[in-house]
Amino acid sequence: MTSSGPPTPPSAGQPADRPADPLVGEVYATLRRLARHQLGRLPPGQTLQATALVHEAWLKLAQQHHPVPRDRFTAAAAVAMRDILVDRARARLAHKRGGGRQHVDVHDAEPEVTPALPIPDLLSLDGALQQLQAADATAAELVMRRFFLGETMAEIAMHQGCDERTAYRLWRFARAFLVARLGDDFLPEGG
Amino acid sequence: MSQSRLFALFDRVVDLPPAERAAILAAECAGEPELRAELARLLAADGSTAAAVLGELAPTSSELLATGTCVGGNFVVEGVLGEGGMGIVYRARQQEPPRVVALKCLRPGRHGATALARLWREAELMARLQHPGIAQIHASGTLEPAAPAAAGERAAASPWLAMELVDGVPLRQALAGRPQREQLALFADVADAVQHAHQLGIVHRDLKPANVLVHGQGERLQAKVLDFGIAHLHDGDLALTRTQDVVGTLGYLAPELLHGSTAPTPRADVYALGVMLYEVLADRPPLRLAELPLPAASQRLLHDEPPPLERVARHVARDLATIVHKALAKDPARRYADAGALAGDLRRFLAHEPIAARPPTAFYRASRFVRRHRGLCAGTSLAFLALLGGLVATLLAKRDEAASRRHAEQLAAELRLLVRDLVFEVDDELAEQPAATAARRQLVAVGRRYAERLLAGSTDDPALWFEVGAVVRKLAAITGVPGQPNLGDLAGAEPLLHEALELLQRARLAGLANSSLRPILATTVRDLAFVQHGSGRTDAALRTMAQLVELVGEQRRHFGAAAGDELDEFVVAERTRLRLQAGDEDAAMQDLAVHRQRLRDRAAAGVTAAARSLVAVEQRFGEYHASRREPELARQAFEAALAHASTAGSDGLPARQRLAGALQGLGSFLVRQGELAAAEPHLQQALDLLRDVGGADATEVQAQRELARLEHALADLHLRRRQLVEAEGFARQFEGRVAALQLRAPQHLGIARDAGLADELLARIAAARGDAAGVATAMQQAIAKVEQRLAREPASVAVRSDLLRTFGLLGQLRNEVANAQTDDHERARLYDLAADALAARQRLLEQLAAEARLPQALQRDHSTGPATIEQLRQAASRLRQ
Repeated sequence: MTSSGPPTPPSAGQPADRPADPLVGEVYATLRRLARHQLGRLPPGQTLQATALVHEAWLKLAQQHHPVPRDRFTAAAAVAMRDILVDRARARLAHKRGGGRQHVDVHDAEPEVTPALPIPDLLSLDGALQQLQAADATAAELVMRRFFLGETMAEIAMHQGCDERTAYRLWRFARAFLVARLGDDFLPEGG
Repeated sequence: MSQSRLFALFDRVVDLPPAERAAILAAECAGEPELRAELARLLAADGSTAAAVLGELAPTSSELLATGTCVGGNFVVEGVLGEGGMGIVYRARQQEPPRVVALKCLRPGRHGATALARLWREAELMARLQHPGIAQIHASGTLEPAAPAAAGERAAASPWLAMELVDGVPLRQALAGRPQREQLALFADVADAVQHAHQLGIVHRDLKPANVLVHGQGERLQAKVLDFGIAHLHDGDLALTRTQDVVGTLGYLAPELLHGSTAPTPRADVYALGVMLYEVLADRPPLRLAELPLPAASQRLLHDEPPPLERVARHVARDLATIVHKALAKDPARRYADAGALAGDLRRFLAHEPIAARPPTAFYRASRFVRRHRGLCAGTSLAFLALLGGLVATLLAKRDEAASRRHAEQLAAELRLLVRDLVFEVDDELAEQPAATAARRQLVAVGRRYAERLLAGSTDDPALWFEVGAVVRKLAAITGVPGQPNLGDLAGAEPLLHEALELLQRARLAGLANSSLRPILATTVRDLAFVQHGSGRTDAALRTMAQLVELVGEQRRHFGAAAGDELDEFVVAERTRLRLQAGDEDAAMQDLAVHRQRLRDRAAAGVTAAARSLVAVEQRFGEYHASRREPELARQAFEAALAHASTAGSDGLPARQRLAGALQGLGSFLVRQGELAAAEPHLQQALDLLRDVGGADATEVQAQRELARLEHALADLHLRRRQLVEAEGFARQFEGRVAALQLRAPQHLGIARDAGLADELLARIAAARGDAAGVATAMQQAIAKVEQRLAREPASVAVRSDLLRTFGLLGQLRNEVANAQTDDHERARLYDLAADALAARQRLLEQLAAEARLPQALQRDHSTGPATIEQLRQAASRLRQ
């Protein structure tokens, strides 16, 4: 890795509703707005795809604001997408435990967003990811890019400012780190 | 970017033999047993995944089977035929029965015992495919690793398949330069073969030219489809790891499969066949994806329509282009249901018979265009609307003309899609734009027109009644249901709501099973009650709400107790709100008391949701008792609210807001009781909790309101302590926040009330300073604001009570500044204002008494008045002289 890499993902390890980088907050809000906006267009039971959503958010932000470098945007988007998915997973869990919904009005409902790769247990992954963040922030960013944005190794290498071989080495490390904590079966297909 | 030491060490030793690993780790981690233990864990974990990772990095050589190797006791390897993303294909000689086969060894993956079992079950299923157009699978098995794995490492097994060896050329090459009729005939054969599998419930999943080989010569060509279902057997590793592979295959991947969230259906195979046919006829792919990075390629795949075939290829008849584009539809529902249907249309075309496919309508193309170019249309919703509106008109005319029933049904289906797009999407867009009134009007007019026409064309279709009912309800909301941006036309909204209700009830009675039906029905009933209440017919509104009780019972029966409770809470909350606005506070609180008991029982039984709901209900009771001057009951209620808020779960933001709300409620109550020292820590804690709430969250209005209430309480606190600078600081913050909220939610009744409270606070501060002019100015504004609210809700007892209270406050403040040093003219102005207020108060009291709705607390004040008014007028005129 070179020293000109993107900034460390800012908010991992902090509560999901308090992003530290303003860009993460902005991307988070844009993603949720887009997700809600698309709810009406989806057939019942359908879910939104993280990758497509992030791409739309990029276009939207690019139209509205000062241009943000793509690598910085994707770093923020990976964190924001993680926050959204983990928030949803928590809410679902709370609902299952009898939390119930606050309102009856169906238009308040938000669509489900599916991560780029199917992840069996998001909350466990999130816990392990926070540990990885503490151990090696670059590796954690790589995992988020791969799982939540569906970036290929080539794209990750480009955005994280390293060569593809290095990215694979880092991935092998991250993967061992996660498998050591979560077991072999947790890895999403294609992960 | 600096490497972590953990990664650096892992990376350094991971590929070394165990002995060398141990030596390096011992040296590097001396004195750091934790680091060493962690590395040992990581290296062990890597062992379980290493094969897959290494497979991604360095494919072949080490895995190659040597010529002469015997696989499965029956197949002798003769050489390599090819290599793909999934594995290596060998040419092998089968011993019994003697023949030459293709032996495909899949790359070792992470196949556990159950995964392997499933894999072989499916391989058996595949082996049942027997069709001249499908390469037959003869046998399958698992390849044991050649070398024993290093100690502590688990080597992965490689599954293999032996299949019919097809000695042919890829489809495109075989068809190039042949007459179109021959191309199409052969292609129909390919589709037939795929259909054979579809009939057995097997989907190919990876159809592409390399998987369709053609052998034979001259007229007698035979196509063979290879690798049926194999993509699926190994889909674990067919991931987005090798960009080349994926982009190579992407061209044939149906859009709905792009992210793997839906299971492939025969329609996905139809899509792949469509791509191949397009390529054969046009000599180019329908979408050029080759040079694009993956995200751009997938975007194009999802959103771009291929150029019309008849334009890019010569001698393609319109019907043929229609067939190919139908196979290529983005929406699977618009494609042929299976390969057989595609084959059928191709043969009909060859026989010059009418084909089943219809060209996409102008509407469909245009709506896709609008969708794709939403960015361009931003800020021009009106244009968007006009465009769609025009399309609706065209479509309706066409539907009436449509000769065949099927065509008419297709048009009706398109109209239904339009319902969603037009009404829900456009209204969402309008919400973000200023001055959208004209667009809203048009939206309602157009939406209405086609909702009517849609219904006219159908007789017995509960799903349609539900859909149209939901749309009409939305139109009513846009027309004039309080609580969201609307056209303010209550009278126009009411018949629409009745219409929606009628449709939804009809769908319900017809037994439509749709879990959204009852919630939408409930919302519609509530909207109707709001509209009736808003136009001054509160009794009708309460009768309307009574209808909901029936729904609650039904909801309980259909969706269980929890769903019933949820609706029940909704009913009680809305009914209480209506009764409070109607001034029937006692009835409202009786109703609420029953509800509170039920919530308490459920909370005691450990239902967190009930405990959460209790927070607001107890606070409501606190306010109620406080207003009736029952401080002990009020205190109990506020304290109960706080207790529930502190224990009712930790759902993040909502939990913080609930707790802050309860702290604020108790704190404000204590301030009003004069227990300032006890109040302050509660308010301070609430402020700390709320300060970091907000941001871009959807609950922002709610969070901002709570912050505003808190500022009000703190201003009150400081005012009572005569700390006027601090008091004014909080009062100004409160005023500013409420003003901002009012801009965002101009219809919100509660926020309008808060705006008046800000003026009253400032008037009280002015009075404490002896500033008669300040009191007069602020109170004038406070009164004007209540009167504006009264103009919106002339029948509301609650608003009239507020006005009475404001008048009362004016009298009180006038007394307070009676002896202050003030300019005589200013004091005269205050006296006149107070006299006007008293006169207005008198009229209001009489009016309420006539309606028999005079609040108890005010009955004794009824006769005050005329004399005081006269005194004030005289004092004012003396001061002016």
